[in-house]
Formats: sequence, structure tokens, C-alpha cells
Amino acid sequence: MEQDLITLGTSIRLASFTTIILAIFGTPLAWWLARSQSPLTVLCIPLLALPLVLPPTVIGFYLLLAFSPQHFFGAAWLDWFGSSLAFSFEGLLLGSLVYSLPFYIQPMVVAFKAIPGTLLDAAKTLGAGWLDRFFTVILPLSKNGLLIATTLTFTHTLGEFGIVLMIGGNLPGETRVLSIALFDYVETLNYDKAHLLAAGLVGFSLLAMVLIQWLTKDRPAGHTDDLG
Amino acid sequence: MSFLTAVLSVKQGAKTLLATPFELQAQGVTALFGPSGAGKTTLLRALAGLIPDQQTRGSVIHSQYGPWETEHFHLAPEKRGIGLVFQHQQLFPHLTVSENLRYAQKRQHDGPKLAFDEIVSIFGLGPLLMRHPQALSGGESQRAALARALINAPRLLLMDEPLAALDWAARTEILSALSHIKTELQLPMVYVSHQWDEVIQLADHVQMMEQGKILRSDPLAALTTDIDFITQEQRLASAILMTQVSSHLPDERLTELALGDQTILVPMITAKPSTDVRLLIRMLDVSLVAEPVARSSILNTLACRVAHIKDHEGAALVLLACEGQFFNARITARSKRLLELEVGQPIFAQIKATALNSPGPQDG
Repeated sequence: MEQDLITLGTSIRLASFTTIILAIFGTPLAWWLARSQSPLTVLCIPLLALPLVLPPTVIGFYLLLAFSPQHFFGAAWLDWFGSSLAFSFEGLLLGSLVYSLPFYIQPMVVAFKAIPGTLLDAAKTLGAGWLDRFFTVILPLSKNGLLIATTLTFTHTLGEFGIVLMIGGNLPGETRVLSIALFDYVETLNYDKAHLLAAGLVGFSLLAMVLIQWLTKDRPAGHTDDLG
Repeated sequence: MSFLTAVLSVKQGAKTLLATPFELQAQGVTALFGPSGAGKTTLLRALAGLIPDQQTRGSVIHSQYGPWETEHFHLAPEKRGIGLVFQHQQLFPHLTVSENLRYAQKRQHDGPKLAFDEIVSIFGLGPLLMRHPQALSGGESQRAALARALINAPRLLLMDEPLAALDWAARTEILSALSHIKTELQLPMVYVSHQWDEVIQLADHVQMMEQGKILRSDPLAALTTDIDFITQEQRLASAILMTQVSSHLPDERLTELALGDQTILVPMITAKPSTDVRLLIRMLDVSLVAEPVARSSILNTLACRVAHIKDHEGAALVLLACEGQFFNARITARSKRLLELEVGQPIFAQIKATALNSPGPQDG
């Protein structure tokens, strides 16, 4: 049981870090993809969507190669931080960022594209600088997109298996996450434990989806009429 | 006196949207008038600084606030102190009307301003303050958008066909609110339109635009007395007479306006005696008689002269000269024959008139 709690902790830590980091760096990227007229976006959008269609093991394989000290990236990381990326929590986090990126970016791009340019022009002429516009117009208007993006990122990170298996291994307290633990229990015919984990994940995911559905539901327009 | 001088060219790909020198008066309303695609919107957006740098060449210099745009400098739109109102979809949907107005108030520029409550009352927004924009009609949205732009205290107000999507009643209401604002605030305004009847109701100065260029620039008074100009098709439907308030008749709820030596009675307005008042004369509200009729429900009979007759789809459009100004009547071919109309002939026009600087919409 204690083992399972540690595993749960690792999973939640991984999903939380992934979501927070993607919210910080993915949001400006999504804005650029949604609003820029640069021809570069034509190339970037399919590239960023790639993790959606590639077998996770393919991504895992290339990440593992990149993490190895024989490779430039892995060597540089070892130089700077003194530890290898492969089979470490940091490595797992980097991998999660890559494969969860489209789950964050896509809903945000859709949300940003839906904001009418006229509203931004209005905010500009009213005297709002870009940071002001971001917090008072853009963010409130993409609230639903943000909610969907963060929930999808979180739940998807929690459930990923293939890539984790390739780059993370199965070290308790470090890289052992729920989906791997479930696999282990099934392998060792420990079905009671497997049921517990599987049902838990189903319950949690269902709860998250219901929450999204409820929070992003369109309220009837002008519901404050009766006050006026 | 011009206070804003621009020499601008805007290109989108190989297409030139705008290539023109442009000067703006420090006083009153300047109308940019021309057909769709003439570059009016592009000019406004370039003045506001909303067109991407790489598409714009030229300069915009403000005589009081310095350069807004030069070859090597682009002042961000939020620092220009401009108010901008366009056709639709500009109120923040996540905020109520009241919150939209407060948003503008919090970020006020340093132009002339009116109190929050006064603007709310001029635009009749009191009952709408707690609503979200989705629950407003087209006219209500535009009233709120104009109010928001004015509460922001801009140095210059730019309006891009703000009434284009509205019905006649909503347009009349907003035009009268704007006329009121015009007399209350020393705020220069640019009004873009392809509707001549809006232009004559509001503008002091008119700049004609076509194919990205300003073709001519005149005071409105010079255009309304220019017979060649007003006999062009679409400018015939309604006309403006410039009059002055001579006195009020409170018992009868009427105001007497002076047009040269003649007088016109209109439903009572609030303007003080000797104030200039624009009178909108719609072609269809004018009938012609050979001699004044002694007893008639129509109060106003003006002595005119026939300046021009144009046959048009079985009817006759008659341009009437009255005290040096012009307006039109549309009569049937039979009436024309019965009256034996000829150019130069004296004639009497009976009109229903509407004065245009009545106060805000809530006073009707």
C-alpha cells in the first residue's frame, strides 16, 4: 500500500509539473501559432501535432537516444547537472513535456483563434498595453480553452505508458508511475491491486471530464437581466 | 487649422490599399465619405496604429503630441490616445456594459471628458448597465461602444461606419446623441461613412475618398450649396438646411428657426436662441404648391426657386433653391405638368422638418 502511495505521488508530481511548465511556455507558443501570419507556423503546427499520431515507443526511443551521454544533448545535461537524464524523474518530465505538448497547445490555439481581433483592437485603443490585454481580455475569453488544455494535459500525463516505459524504467519513488505499476501487477497476476489502480484511474478521469463539461457549459446570455 | 497631418501608404502584398496625404481639422467632425473599398477603414486603422508595421510607409504627425508614425518610429496604438468605434463586436463579452465602461474609465487618456453619469444618460444606458453585450440589440451595443470610447477621454475619436448595421430608428437616436456630444465636447472626430444622409447630419468638413486617395476636401456648407455636387444621384434623398434658433414658443411646444429671412417651425428643441441648428429635409416630406395655402396642417411653407429638374423613373426630382441653400422634392410627372414647372420659376415648398441638435435619445 505504501508503495502504491509513493507511486501515486510520483504520478501526480509528474502531471503537475508538466501542466505548470506547459502553461507557462505553451501559452505564448499557442498564441504565436494562433495569431502569427508567419509562414513558419505552417511547419510548426504539424510538427507539434506529431506526438498525437506517432507510436509512443517511437518517441520514447528517440528520447532515450537523445538522453544517452553519447549524444550531444545527454552529454551536455550530464555536464551541467552531473546526473544522467535516462531513468530519472527529470528525464521523465522532459519526455512528458514533449508528448503532452499537443494536448495543451491544440485547445489553446483553438481558443485563441476564436477571440475576435476587434476586441483586441478595442482594448489597444482604450489604452491597454499587451500584458494588460493578456490578463483582462485574452485570458478571460480563453478560460474554457485553458480549462480543457490543463485537464487534458494532466490526465494524459497521468496515463501515458509507452514513452514512460522506454525512458523512465521502473524505479520506485523516482520514475515508477501508476500506469507502470498497473502493468506490473497484471504481470505478477496481482489482480486485486490492479483493479484498485485501474478503477482509480477510470474514476479520476471520468471526474475530470465531467468537471470540464460542467465548467465550460454555455450559460444563457444575459443571465443578469433581472438586475437591470 | 490642421492638427494632424499624415502622409501614408499602406500595401498588402502587391495591392495598394491607401496612398494619400491627409490632414485633419482640430475642430468638429470630419467625414470620410466614399464607396466601399475606397480605403476609408484602412486610413482610420493606420491613424490608430493598428496596421502592421511592415505594411505601412509614411508619417503621422500630431501638432500637439508629436509624431505617431515616421519611417523609423511607430507609437503603439494604446499610447496614441485615440478612441475607435467600429461596426460591431467590440464590447468585451465577459464584462457587463457597466464593467465595459469602467474598463475605459480606468485607462483614461488625456482628452476632453464628460462625467460617467452624464455619458450614461446621453446614450440612454441606465437600464442596460448590468447586462452583458450578448443581451443587447444592435443599437444598444453601438450606444454602449460609443459611450465607452468617450468615457476613455480620447484626444481624437475615430468612428468607422458605426451605424451601418442599424435600422433607421436606432441610427436617428445615435446621430442625435452624437450631435449633442459634438456641442458638449471640444473633441475632434473622424466619421467614416458611405451614407450621405449621415454625413450631412454630423459633419463639419467632408473628405471624399476613392481608390485609396482623398479626392477633395471641403467644408460641409460649401458642398450643400454646390449644385453640381448635390445633383449626383445618391445625395438627393435628403438635404440639410443650416438655420439658427430665433425663438421658442413653449405654449405650443414649438421652436422657430430662421432660414435667411424666412422662418421654419419645428417641435421644440433645447438649443438657445441664435444657436446654429441643422435641419434635415427628406425629399419625400416635401410637397410643392404654386401659391401658399392659407389653412393647412403643414406649418412650414418656404418660398423657393426651381434650380434643377431631373426626370427619374416616371417621377421628377426637383432641386429647390431657398435662401442660397438647396433641398429636394420628388413629385409625380403629373404634378410636374399641372404645376408647369420650369427651371428658374418661383414655387412654394411645404415641408415637415426635423431639427437635428435635439438632446439625447431619452428626451426623444
